Amino acid sequence: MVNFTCPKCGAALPVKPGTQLAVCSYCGTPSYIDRREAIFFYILPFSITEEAARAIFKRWTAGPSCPKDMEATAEITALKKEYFPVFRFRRTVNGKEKITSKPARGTLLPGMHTIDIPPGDMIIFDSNSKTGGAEILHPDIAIDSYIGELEGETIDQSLVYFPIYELKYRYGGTEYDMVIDGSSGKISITNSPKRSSVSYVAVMALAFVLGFIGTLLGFLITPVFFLLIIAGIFAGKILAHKVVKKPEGGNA
Amino acid sequence: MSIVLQPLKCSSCAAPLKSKERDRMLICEHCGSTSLFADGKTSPVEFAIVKPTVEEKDSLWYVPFWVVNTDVIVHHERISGGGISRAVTGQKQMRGVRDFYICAADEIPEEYARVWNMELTINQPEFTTIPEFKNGGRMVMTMDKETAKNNAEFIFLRYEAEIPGTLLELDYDFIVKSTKVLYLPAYKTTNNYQLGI
Amino acid sequence: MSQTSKIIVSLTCPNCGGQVHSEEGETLVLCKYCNSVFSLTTDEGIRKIMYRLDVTRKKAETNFYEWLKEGPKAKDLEKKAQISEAYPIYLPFWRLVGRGKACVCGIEIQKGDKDEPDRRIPHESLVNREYIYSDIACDPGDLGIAAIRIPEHAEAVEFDDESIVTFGVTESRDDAYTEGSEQIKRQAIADGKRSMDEVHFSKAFFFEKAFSLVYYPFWIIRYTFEDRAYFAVLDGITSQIISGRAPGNAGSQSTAAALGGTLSGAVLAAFIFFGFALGALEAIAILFAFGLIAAAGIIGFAYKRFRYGDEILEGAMKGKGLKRGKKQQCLETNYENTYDMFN
Repeated sequence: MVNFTCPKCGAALPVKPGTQLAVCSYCGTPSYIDRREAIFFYILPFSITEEAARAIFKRWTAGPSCPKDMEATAEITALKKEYFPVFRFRRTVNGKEKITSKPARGTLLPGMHTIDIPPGDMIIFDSNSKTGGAEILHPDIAIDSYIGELEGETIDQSLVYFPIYELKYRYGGTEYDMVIDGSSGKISITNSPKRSSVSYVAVMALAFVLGFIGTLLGFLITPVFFLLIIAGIFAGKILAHKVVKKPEGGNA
Repeated sequence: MSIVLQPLKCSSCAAPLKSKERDRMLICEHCGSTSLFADGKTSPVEFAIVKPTVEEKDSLWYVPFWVVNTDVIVHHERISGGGISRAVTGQKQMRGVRDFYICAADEIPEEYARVWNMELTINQPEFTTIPEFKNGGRMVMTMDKETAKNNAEFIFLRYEAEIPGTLLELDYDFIVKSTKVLYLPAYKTTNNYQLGI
Repeated sequence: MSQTSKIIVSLTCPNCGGQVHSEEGETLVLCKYCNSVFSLTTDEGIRKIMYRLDVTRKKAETNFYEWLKEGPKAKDLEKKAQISEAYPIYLPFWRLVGRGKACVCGIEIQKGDKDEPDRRIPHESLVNREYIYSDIACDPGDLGIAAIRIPEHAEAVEFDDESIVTFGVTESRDDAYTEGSEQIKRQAIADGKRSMDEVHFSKAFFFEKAFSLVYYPFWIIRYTFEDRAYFAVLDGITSQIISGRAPGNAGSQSTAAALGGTLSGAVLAAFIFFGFALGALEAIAILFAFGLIAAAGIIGFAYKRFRYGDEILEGAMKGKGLKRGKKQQCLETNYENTYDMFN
């Protein structure tokens, strides 16, 4: 951590993210901060509790992309509250400002390579920072290994610790990984169980065929066949209900 | 890069410049020459002041204009209809070397500026110039040269579209030869502006 | 449009030692004591503006409960949902205001009747409008917000990041500017194109009026339903729902499947029957085509509600679910002081 002091009165200067001017809170002197050489450390607080992370997972399992028995049968096997380190580079490339983020730690976690720092109130990270029981994952990639391959001139660079929940769950005998961003609740996954659309298509196709035949025969032969339309609606409703209904805890 | 206040110096005699208004045209108190502020620097600039030919009681202001001298070369143009009407009315073609007038003061509302720009550019008026801002104030100049060039090109396109006949195809070069600053007299009432020429 | 309250940077005049004030974004700086003129260089050349949070917690919660009742959401959601947290946040947006001017010319093709050839009508147009571009300046994560529309009565105040929870800017200023000015130019050409089918010439210019970083307030309401976590985001000034997630209604899903499937079949059959009843080959073909389009429309609508209706996604949310509500577009037109011409 780099510490800045007011050049006039010597008091500590807190430097906010993205600013180049810092005003001393004691004597009011504004100072210019040269940000090129230093690395700034920031931390984003958790706004999602552990309990909320579990509930977000539960919501996701009940959503349309997951198999319908997943909410009832999927089991969270591990949930870790962590701070993941990311380098953020602000550089001038051909006279234009470019912002790039790179992971500061080797990882196989979902979503950590196409990293974007989630929305959050970036605060300065120092020894007083509260981590709320989260484990801090320390960088194992040197910043220099990225600087060589980046274009342009440095404006500033920072290491941002951002809050994640690393979650493992078991469904159908297989274990899967997931990351929930602890700031906005965004879910990142690489692979996950999928819900098949076959039964949905089948139900609608059946209703369609009944409606089609009922109408055509009703016009061509006898209006009695119009009853097939009503049969289609009822059959469709009953079968669709079976498709939609969750094994237990459904909201039907 | 750092946050720096760089004192601006006269581009001719290097004396520090003074001004009460945030004007791109800065007049040196020391030698009287004018410098133009652009991209953090000052450079020498030529300008002329036009003598009012209309007398009004309202307050007189000298409004800055960018005069963009341009060679318009149309390689290919196709127009549908309007050909006869163009010939009959003797509609002027906006071709070859001419001056485009672009009002450079933010204070003049768009509704006035766009009419003035077009009229002056079409009519290419002749002026008598005067050596100083006589009986009137100098309006603050806010527009930079690049914006003026783009505005000039749009005026050309606006003219091509507004005259009779429907433009079908157009291939042209818009070559800016020089730019200069001209102050034109205008009378200002509460919510009205009128050119004094 | 003129609610651009300006932030002032104070510096010391190197000439007389007096306080020099500069609006952020201005490069020409004057000292009002000694009239000295300076050029200011910094890469912080952007105005920051913020809007005051107008909506109270009570008002936000009332609107939130109203929203729970709308659309095919879970039965009794407004009774069973429990708010776990409600808090205001400020999100940063890049906002670019400027004039887009374009000249477009081309041809409109009108299909001729049976024997006549198509008519080719030449058009030319000039567009001169003010456009407003906005784009979120940080990754919105799971919040489902892409752009803002600032309401007329909204009051801009000087930016003060001490007092509020502000989300950090993580998108580049220059990228936003380039994207904004290019979108405005494209839009000016698209506005000029109007009824043209072929464009033979087009050229657009962008003239900047203001570029600023706007901090805009929102309420975030997190709630649970059957132990699942959902949320909604409300505009902190108008209290409208911007985005959110909500549980769907299984009853409405199955109804959509039953009605949609049967009706689409019936509609197609009816169109075919009436086509044959009219006899002419052309009539059969036309009615069959209409029947197919109508049936496909109904199926598409119903299938989405059936298959993805487990979760309702409001606003600009990404992912699977039944999408509802309006997504705020990045680009808006200010129709005051437009000078267009269409021929």
